[in-house]
This record gives sequence, structure tokens and C-alpha cells, in this order.
Amino acid sequence: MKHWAKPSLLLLAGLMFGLALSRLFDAILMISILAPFLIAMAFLVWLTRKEIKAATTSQYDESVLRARIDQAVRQERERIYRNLHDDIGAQLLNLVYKAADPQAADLARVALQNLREAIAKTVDKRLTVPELLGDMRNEMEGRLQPTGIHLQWQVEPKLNEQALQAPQAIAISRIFRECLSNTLKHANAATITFSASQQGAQIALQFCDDGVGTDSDKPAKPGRGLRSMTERAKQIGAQLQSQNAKQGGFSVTLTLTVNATLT
Amino acid sequence: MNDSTVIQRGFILEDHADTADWLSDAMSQCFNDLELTLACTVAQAQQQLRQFKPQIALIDLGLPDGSGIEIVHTIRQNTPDCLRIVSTAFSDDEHLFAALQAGAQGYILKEQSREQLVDMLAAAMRGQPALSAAIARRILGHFQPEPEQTLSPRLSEVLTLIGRGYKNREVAELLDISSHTVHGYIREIYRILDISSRSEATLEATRRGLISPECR
Repeated sequence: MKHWAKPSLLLLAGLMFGLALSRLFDAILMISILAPFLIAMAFLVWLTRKEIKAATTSQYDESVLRARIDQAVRQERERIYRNLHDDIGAQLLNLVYKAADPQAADLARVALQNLREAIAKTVDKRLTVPELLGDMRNEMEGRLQPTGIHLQWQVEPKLNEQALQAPQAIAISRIFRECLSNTLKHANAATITFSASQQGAQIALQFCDDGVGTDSDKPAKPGRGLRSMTERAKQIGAQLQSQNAKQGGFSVTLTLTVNATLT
Repeated sequence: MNDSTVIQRGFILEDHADTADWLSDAMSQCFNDLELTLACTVAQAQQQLRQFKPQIALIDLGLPDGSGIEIVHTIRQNTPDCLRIVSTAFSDDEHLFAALQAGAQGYILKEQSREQLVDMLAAAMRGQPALSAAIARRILGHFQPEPEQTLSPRLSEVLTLIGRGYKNREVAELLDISSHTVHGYIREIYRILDISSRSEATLEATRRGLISPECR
């Protein structure tokens, strides 16, 4: 080995060591500067993934979404119901109290009843024919009591027990509510006979008063009330017949098949 | 409440002024020399009932600051002898059933003519509260699926028939019993509702640890 070889080797080694050391320091410095960013980024990635996961499992899960929609619909319906019930309901009730005569009071009561059915919260409550008739009888008697008109109730005890679809039940009660309104307005009747009978799957509901009937000299001209009743019957797949009764007065017959499914 | 009791103090909880007038008139027509106290919120009623001890109360359910059911409870606790009657617009009001369970002893319909109102009040006074078809069905539904645990088969039959609109007299004919017996059944139905609601309340309270089972 030459005499300069050892110190130059040492110098070289020192240089390389110094270089390596400075690199190491750089690296350490870099890492120490970058570390918080890296950690923060990793955390962000983790958070985002967690959120995405949560979103896909709950927020956009179909059943959860449907439950939320249902709840929103319920809340909205509840709000509308409360407003209508509190404001318009109370005003109609006022009309009942302030009515100049029983006919006007009856009009207000019917409006109240229609309002209530239109906004009923229990619209999916399903009634059988005998149950629906029970409600209709309660209602008719309530309306007839101030008038002194007698209600004869002739309902066969054994009627189809199958539950009606809500639209069927509403249409039936509206049709006969209108019948009673017509009788109170025009007929000057003393007795109303309501009968229900069944043949096979067909149920016939008949409302008959002993009033003046329609003027048979003129061609039958169905009024607005009768037309809307016929329309309602058609909507639920039932037939409506109206005519002067043989024994005098006016009769309306609704025939429907109960197990017909309604879409 | 028996017939010999003279009704001197009445209470009406109603937030609509015209309805309150209507009910006051009917009450005054029904009872002579009646001292009548009116409230239009639950809070006001609570305050008045601290001093005023009514013998008959007409309670509206939907009030601006809460439900009249709370007042049915209060009156039952403070003045158990007071006849608690709910006033409602519709006989199938969904809150009416809850009120009967809370101890209301009858109901009247606000939209009725004054004569009908007076009749309904008088019937409730005689211990013959009304029971509409809709309410009868709701009571039956309440005890499903095991109505026989609480209701005798006879009571179920009576409720089913009333739920179909049969009058008490017709129920009596169909079941071959007297009208008097049918009235008894209806009173029994109201009583069972009351008891079952009380036992349910006790169960619920026990579950929540409010009452220990031993000291019931």
C-alpha cells in the first residue's frame, strides 16, 4: 500500500459515511415532516371508507329508505289531518250549532262526515259488510233523530263476513249517505226502509223511502247526486238502480259481489 | 252515581268557544242550578281542578297543550265519584278508546242536536253509557287474540252484535235475554276496560321498576 492510500481511503470512507448520515437525517426530517400529513390522510381515507360503508348499509338500504319515506308520509298526513280537523272541522261544527234549521244542520253534519272520511287516518282499516252496515245505521239514526223519520232496518243476520276493500266501504257509505240527503231534501217521507240480502256472492243493499218519489210524468232526469252515486258504484264494480217504488216513494238498490277483488 | 245525587257542580274542558257554549247550554238544560267551570287547556284544567271538585265533567280530548286523557286521569284520582264523560266529534275517534281505558265512563258526540246531547248525558247519568258500533269493535279487537281470557263468550257476543249496529233491544231479542241484562253487560264491558287498563298500567309500571311486585 502506498503512503497516501490509507488517509485517502479514510477520507473516502468518512465522506461516504457523512453523505449517508446526511441522507439519513434528510430522510428522518422528511418523515417527521410528512408523518402528520400521512397519518391525517390515512385517517381521512379510513373515515371516508367507513362513511361509504355506513351509507351503503343503512342510509340507502331500501327498507330503511322506505321506512323513512313512510314516516315522512305519516307525519305529513298527520299535519294535514290536524289542520283540517282543527280548523275546518271546528268551523263545520260551528255551522251545525248556528244552523237556522235542521236541514242546514244536517248539511253541515254530512260535510263533517265526508271531511272526516276523506282525511281518515285509519283508511286501511277493513270492515266486513255487517260491520259497515252497523256504522251506517248509527250514522243514519243520528241524522234522522231530529227529523222524526222512522228507520226500519231489515238486514239478514247471515251476511258475507269477508272484509271489504277500503274504497268499497267508503263508496257504499257515501252512496247511502247521499240517498238519505236526497230523501231529507225532496221526499217528505215518514219512514225509510233499509234492507240487505244476499244470494250467493251477491249482496243487494236497498234504501227505500215512502215519500213523494220522482215526478213520473216527466222523463227521468237523473240529478247530479244520482249521477255521482252511479259513478261511485261503477268505480267499485257495483250496479246502482234507482226507481220509484211500487208502493210509492223512491228506492235505490246497490248490488255488489263481495269477493270480487278490486285493484 | 245514583239518581238521588243532585248534580250541582259541572266541569267542561273544551278549547273551541262555540262548542263550549253548546255543551254548557246542554248541561244547564240537563241539570238545574248548575255551577259550571270551564277550562280550555289541559294546564288550566289541572289548575282549576285543584280547588273545584266537579260531580260531572265533559272532557274534550284534543287540546292545544295536550290530551284531555290526562284530565280523565286527574279527575279519577282526585274525585273518583265525578262522572267522567268524553266529548268527541266522532264515535270512532281513535283517542276515544284510549280515554275509555283511562277511566272515562261514557262519551257524547259534539255534533248532535241539543236534545240528543241531553238524552246522551241523561243515559250516562243512569249508568247506561252509549256504545257505538265502532267502539264495540275496537274493544273486541283490543282483547284479540284471546278475548276469552277477559271477556266471557256472552260479552263477546254482545259486543259483536253491537259492532254490527244492533240496538240493545235487538241484542236482547237475538240472545233471548232482557234489555235490562244487555244494559248490565254494557256496564260490565266498561268496567272490564277500566280494570284491564289498570292492570296493564300496573304491569307496565312493574316492568319499568316503578312498583315492586311485592307491595302491590
